[in-house]
Amino acid sequence: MKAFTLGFVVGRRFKNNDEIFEQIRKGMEEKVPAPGPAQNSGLNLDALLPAEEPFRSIAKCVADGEVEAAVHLVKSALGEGWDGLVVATDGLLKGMDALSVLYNQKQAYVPEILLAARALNAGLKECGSLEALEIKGTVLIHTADGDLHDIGKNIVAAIVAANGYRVIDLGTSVHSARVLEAIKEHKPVAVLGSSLMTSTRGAFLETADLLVQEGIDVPLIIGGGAIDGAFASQRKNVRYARDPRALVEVLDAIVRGKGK
Amino acid sequence: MNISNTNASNTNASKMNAGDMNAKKRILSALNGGRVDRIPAWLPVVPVTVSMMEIAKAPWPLSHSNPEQMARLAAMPWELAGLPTATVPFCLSLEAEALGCQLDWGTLNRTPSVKGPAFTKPDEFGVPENLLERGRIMTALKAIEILQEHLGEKIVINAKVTGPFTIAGHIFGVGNFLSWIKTHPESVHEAMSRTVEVTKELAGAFLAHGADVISISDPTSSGDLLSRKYYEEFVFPYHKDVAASIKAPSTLHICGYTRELLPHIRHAGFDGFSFEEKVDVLTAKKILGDEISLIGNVSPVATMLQGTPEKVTAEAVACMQNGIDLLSSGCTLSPLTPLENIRALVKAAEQYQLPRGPEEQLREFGRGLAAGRSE
Repeated sequence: MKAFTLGFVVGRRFKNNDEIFEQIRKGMEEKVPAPGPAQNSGLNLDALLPAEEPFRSIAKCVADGEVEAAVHLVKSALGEGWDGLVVATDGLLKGMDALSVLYNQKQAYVPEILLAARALNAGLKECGSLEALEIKGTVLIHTADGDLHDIGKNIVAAIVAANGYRVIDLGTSVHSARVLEAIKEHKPVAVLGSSLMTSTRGAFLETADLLVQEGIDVPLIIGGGAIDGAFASQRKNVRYARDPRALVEVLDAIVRGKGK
Repeated sequence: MNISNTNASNTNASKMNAGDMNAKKRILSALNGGRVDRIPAWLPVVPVTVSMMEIAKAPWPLSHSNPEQMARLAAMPWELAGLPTATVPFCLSLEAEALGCQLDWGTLNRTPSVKGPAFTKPDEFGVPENLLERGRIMTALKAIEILQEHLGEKIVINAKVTGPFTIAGHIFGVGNFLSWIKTHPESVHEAMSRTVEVTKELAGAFLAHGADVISISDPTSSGDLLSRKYYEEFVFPYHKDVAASIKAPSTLHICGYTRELLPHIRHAGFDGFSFEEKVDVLTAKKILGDEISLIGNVSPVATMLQGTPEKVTAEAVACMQNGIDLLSSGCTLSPLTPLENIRALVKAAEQYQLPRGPEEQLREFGRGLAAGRSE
């Protein structure tokens, strides 16, 4: 408790009492643990990339967000006879996945993810038909009715796609009736929802109730600044994911549960 | 116009002024790092709720565009909860609208938001000469005048201005703008050097119309979206520019995780920094030291919206013990926040005793000496 009250004493209003406060300041600094996220977790991009070429270079281009280089490398790999599907799964998607690990560790930020998603999509276009791409399942993604913030949603979409799901983006401010319609059309394993405004998150509960009413057994997984575990626990068919990687774990668990 | 046209009692207000310091003086002193008799409760962000809109007969979205309604609603946190501040405007889209973006006007409990970008490249955008006449800027300026006229002696009239990075995100599209950091860094600077002029011009206009404090809100420059390096390169110089241009007490608010940005924010030149509970108060105090007043940081959702008054009090006391200079919620309150939780926040500040520092002890000693001599 003593350490806590020291915060004040160092305020500007006592600035002139130099010596005593210098001591208190020192004492306080010693008591405060070095804050911040685990920056030296030993993770770096090189360790996360696939070992073999040409996949390593392709994955690196995606992680670095180099759109043209990624497209060029994918083309030359295809020219060497590699199958489009293999290039996509072992190269492009691995790069996105590696970056998502760094993002979670706060070693990469939103600008990097946005560019990597761009490189990923440009590369995937070159790979030809991906109909045969083995996917774990289809998911729908949207932001709550009234919420126009789409950056978080787009990042989640890119990371979930990199982890082997087909992501169908319903866009921002999606009404529950539209979600229901899309579920009937695409038969997803889960619906993902993002909300950054507490005033819009109630829409998720409406959607959850509507799904129960319609007898649809598809979980709604939600996240974003306005959401926490307590909010999600208000409905049985709603789950909370703190960040994109936690979300992938929840999705994988759902898919495993279905397979049994 | 009678701004206090409610049945609510004003007892809070009279009680607040009974102490040594007037509520307004206390807040301004705390912002400037001066002496206070106790820590003030003050929000640089918007504290209005749906129940206030009903009582003030100034519902959203109507009151975003009507100066009388805007002023009446802004006065409600003081009238109903004793929170000695009135903040306008209520949204972050005032600037973007004036620069040509389409808005979704929101609802009774949802602020207006920007529908989509207005420009694709920085060179398409120049600061309009008649900026202050566009959109709802005159509405907000008029509301400030009304508030200053009626309440300016008692409480702090606070003008909220959107920061340059957030404005740029609105008018160029956040995704587009953020990716320029990697692809076209010079475009980011080009855009920022123009949007910063919008923030500065608006801040100056609010001051000219009677605002006491300018609160810059720049949520898009959050540490959740940007690394410390990006903040330093693309945002910090412009925040510094804004702070230097404001000839009045000024605060900066950034949402989310701002721990990594603090070493820069310390030197940005603002008088106060408002941050969310994702950053621990003691940690922030250690980094920001005595350079800038700490404003925060009771959780706006988990505590103010969903918690009980008891939870608000407990968290408020913890904040004050850890070195908060002005007690506030970590971010704009949800319009569904219960009024009793806002009252609990104000009360927590009223009842919290500032620990006595050596200066005060010395003064008491001096008073004793003086008393002895006169006898």
